[in-house]
Amino acid sequence: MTLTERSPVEITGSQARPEPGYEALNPGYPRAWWTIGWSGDVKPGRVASLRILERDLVLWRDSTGAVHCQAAHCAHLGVHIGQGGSVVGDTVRCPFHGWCYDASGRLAAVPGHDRLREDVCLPTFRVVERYGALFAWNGAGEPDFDFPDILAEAGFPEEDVVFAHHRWYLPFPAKWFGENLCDGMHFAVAHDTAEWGETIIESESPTVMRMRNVIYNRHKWLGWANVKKRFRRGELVNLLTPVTNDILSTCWGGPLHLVRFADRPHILGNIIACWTPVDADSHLVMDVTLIPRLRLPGGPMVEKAIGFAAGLGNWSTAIQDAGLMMNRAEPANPPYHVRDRGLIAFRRFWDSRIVADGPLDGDNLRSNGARAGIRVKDRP
Amino acid sequence: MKKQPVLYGAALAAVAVAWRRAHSSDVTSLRKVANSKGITTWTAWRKSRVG
Repeated sequence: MTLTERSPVEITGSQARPEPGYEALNPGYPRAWWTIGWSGDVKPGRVASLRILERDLVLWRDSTGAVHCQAAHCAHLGVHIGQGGSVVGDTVRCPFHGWCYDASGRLAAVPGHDRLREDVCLPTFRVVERYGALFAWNGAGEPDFDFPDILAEAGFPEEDVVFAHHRWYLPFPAKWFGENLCDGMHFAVAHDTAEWGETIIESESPTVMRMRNVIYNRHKWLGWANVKKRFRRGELVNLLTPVTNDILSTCWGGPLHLVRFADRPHILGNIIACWTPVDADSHLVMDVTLIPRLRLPGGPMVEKAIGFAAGLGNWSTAIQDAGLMMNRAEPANPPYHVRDRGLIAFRRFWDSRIVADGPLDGDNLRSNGARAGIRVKDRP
Repeated sequence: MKKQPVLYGAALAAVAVAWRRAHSSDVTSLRKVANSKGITTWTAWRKSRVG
């Protein structure tokens, strides 16, 4: 058969019809809530586009202000709706031929045609808006846990808190960064806070892990020697984030963390952190820092200044990890040490949240596959 | 009043020496390693923008 003798395209509708409903963003990543953006990214009447979990998405608000998250490419001819698309009533409109989709992904209108195909559907994803941020559920159907009340976990009433949002793009896999919260030794060594550290798993369930990163023999933080060292390393801003005690982390489903400092009963210093993949080898650091609400004249301005300073402090810590991660090449079977117990527990937890048809083949970027079951040889 | 230029000069020299020592030290800095690969506060923030 030559190129001019192709058989006609079959359009009899024999293919399985897609049903409107929530889909998984990417089943290769854990079923969990992922921080995907900030509320301010999605302005009324506008279509925002972003790439998350190796998928192109659009975000838009309907007339009630509710945010909707859908696949970016029109089901018709695949044009990116985020580039020139618009919100029309309670639908999002493709800029190519004007196909409109409602919040459930159904085709709602086609210009000049009132009989709509029922087998056309735009993949739609479950999204919630909390704490000035947008969180998407990576999974089809109903979530196996609701979006957590993170402030209740932190122990602060919502009316006492405002949120500072920071986001950075880094060119290495998200999981490498996220799992650092279960790696107490790195808090001591890589961040130069103490002689050594370890992670203690305080509680674990199929959906939540609570960890305590303990550091031993801390360096003196507020002292001339440390100031001199930070200056020489070009990390003076790092003085804004003193690690004076253990670091607590609550992890929901793998990617979503609440990070706290054990000795600070105060709001400042609590971070809702998520490392959201863009592609397999790049990610966004999504950091929501809790700031105390100041009920005094000019309070919002001071809150913003504190939030900005907190962001710089968080970044000064993140870039220390970035310096290590961008050239990292983890061996296929790492020689785990007994102090890696927290890390191993987290890797198992991460893999337990992945529902994939194919076997997890040890691809370290998305999951740990077979390696998640590895045993520590020198268990005491 | 006449001593002021000398004081300013001494302060400037002290800053210059400190700056020079900081940048000629052999202390490994992860921030500098990241910066050398183009990961700076500015680039990481700019590339994260959602449009």
